[in-house]
Amino acid sequence: MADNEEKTKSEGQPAKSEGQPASPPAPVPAPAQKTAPPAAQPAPKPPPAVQPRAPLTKPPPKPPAPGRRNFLKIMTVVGGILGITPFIPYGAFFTGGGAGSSLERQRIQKSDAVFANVNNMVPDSAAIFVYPRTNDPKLDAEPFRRYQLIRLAGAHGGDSREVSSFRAYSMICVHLWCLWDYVPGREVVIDDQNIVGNLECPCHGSNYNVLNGKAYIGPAADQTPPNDALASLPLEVDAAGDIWVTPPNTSFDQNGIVGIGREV
Amino acid sequence: MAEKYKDKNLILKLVLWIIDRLERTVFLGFRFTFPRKFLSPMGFSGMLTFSTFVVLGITGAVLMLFYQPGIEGAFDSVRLIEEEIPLGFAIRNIHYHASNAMVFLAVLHLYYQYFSGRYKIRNEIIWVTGLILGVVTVLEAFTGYDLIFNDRAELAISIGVGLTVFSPVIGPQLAAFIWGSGFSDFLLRLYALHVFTIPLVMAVLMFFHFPKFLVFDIPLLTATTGIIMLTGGIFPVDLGVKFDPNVPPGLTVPEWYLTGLYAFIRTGFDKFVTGGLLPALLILFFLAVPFVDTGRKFSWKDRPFFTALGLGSIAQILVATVWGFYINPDPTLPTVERLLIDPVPLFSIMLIGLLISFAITYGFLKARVVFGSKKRTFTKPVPISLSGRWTATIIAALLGTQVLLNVLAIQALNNGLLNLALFEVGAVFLVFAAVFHVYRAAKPELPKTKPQELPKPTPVATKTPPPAPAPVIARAVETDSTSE
Repeated sequence: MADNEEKTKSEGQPAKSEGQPASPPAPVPAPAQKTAPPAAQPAPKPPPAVQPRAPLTKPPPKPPAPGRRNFLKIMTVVGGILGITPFIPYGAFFTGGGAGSSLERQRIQKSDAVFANVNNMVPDSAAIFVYPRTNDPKLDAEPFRRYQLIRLAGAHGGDSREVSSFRAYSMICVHLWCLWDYVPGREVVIDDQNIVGNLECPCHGSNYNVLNGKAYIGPAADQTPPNDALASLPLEVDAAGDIWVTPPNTSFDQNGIVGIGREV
Repeated sequence: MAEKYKDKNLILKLVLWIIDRLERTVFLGFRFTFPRKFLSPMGFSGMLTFSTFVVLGITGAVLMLFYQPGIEGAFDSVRLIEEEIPLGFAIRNIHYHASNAMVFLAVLHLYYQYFSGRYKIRNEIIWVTGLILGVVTVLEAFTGYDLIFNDRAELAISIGVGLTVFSPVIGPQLAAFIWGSGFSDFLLRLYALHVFTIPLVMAVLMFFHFPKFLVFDIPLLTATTGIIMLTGGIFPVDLGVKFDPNVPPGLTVPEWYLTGLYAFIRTGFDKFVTGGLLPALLILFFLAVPFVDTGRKFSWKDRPFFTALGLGSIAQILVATVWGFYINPDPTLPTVERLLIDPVPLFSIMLIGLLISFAITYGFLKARVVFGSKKRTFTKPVPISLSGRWTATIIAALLGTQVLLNVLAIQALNNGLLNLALFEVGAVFLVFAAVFHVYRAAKPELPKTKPQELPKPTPVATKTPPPAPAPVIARAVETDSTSE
């Protein structure tokens, strides 16, 4: 076929040294070439070339075997469907399985590498920490493992050395997963209650109540519960005043799920 | 074989030999036209978009040599490219500004084709693949600016993943499938998507988008590249603030092609509606247009309804985009007051924009009927005819400017003025475009050295090819109206 194209393209040239020896025995190109020389354009040639083949394309009417034919067709389709049906969870490759790390009781280490203590956390302040803390820098840099330890302002009993003056919330905003920040000293009114200290997200302005981690204004506040409160961590204060995280229960009615929410 | 190439010099022989063989490939299926005079770039804005794609491919391939994907390395490697690697600053700036140019040119291309009704005449598939290409282009740009992993990128990734997770029914599964879990996964996958998967998808889509006839206007392609460099010199892109998980990010605004979406989300309505459905409405509108507007009229004047809708969509995009940029600058206010956009004025102004565009369109067409439109007579523009000597002088002067700018650029580079050097190299490109244009405009004036090389038809001369460049111009104009 390649020879055939070459010839029709350069037919103006009389002396052709190559391409000749191969062509004579080939039955199909021969008629095409016979008709070719007078015509200037190569376009109208195909019909004569096709004609010798025409009888082949019309097979004599065979006795049809519809039942068998249909059966084969159906089996092919079924086989195709079975072939692409995910009996095996093919998508599991893409989810990667998720890196699990054990949730254990851990002392809170603030981002300045000091262990959080009742004595180094003044009322109305916050510190960022990682939970669960590992020795893998990649995992410890993960925003989804960031929490803020907040000591409430004095107005909310933050002067107490008990665990009741502390809160630990996931830093991931439940609206679209940006990282909120604690604004100390900001006075807000939530349900006719004056609250000191505020949790504000810089992306779309969701604000959370520092006392219970529930959104009270901004887009997160309009979401349906439990998608409107930050995940939290259970805390403990030991005799030396060090603050510990005890393993959380990641159900909505307990500590909630990071980025998704908690029932308040 | 040898016969055919007789009487040709060695270089021409090689070129002909290569062209003969290229005919066996798909490449010569495209018909390239090299216009001999200035044409409006709107007619081939698609080609300009593609040229920025090529620029992005080249600069991106070079940036890959030093960029490290991942939480720890990403920002520092970009800083290394920016500050340590010789010319890294220029490459990164060209890459960044070319991405902006590509999004901008794609939008321009879309609207030009829309207003001139090119989605008709069996161009529906070209239109649909073009829209998909446009969306994919924005995704590509989005994945690109996340790779730096500064504060803004971190927030953008969070929002992207968050929008995926909270999409209905299959959200969490889809997010795990696309993004994996955790920022390590996110960054690596963004990188894989950005450098391989999405460009591959774009390249495949281009085969179903490109028309057969393409205008390859060398001066304007060069000028586009030059303008990208000029912009890079004037507004060099900054690194931003390195993301530190121990320091919560401040208020940031996304890239300009996403601020419209940002404005929607900031209204506080459901995030899937504002972040997914509203932008999808625009895309769906454009997708539906060729199947709704099936009339035989092409000009925007004859399709007032669709003209008004198009103008209205432009107005709405502008309103949302500009509004998305605005954040109350008073830092003492609570963030919610600075960020939250009141949906009533935003959406009512967008609606008013649509109404105004209808009023303008129909009013304009009515006025044309009442006052009568001025009959536009197409007078042939008077060509600037210069003598050969003057042409040579101008070209020589421009070449001198090029040399001077090159020297200045080297000087700036040696003095560490990187953005000035980038600016001057951009200017060199622009001057080259001018040289090329003057040359081709003056070409008919120059003495002809040899007859034109045309594939000789058969001796039966149905039409003898007229002598010189006149038919070429005609062909250029003609292909301009059919290409892209």
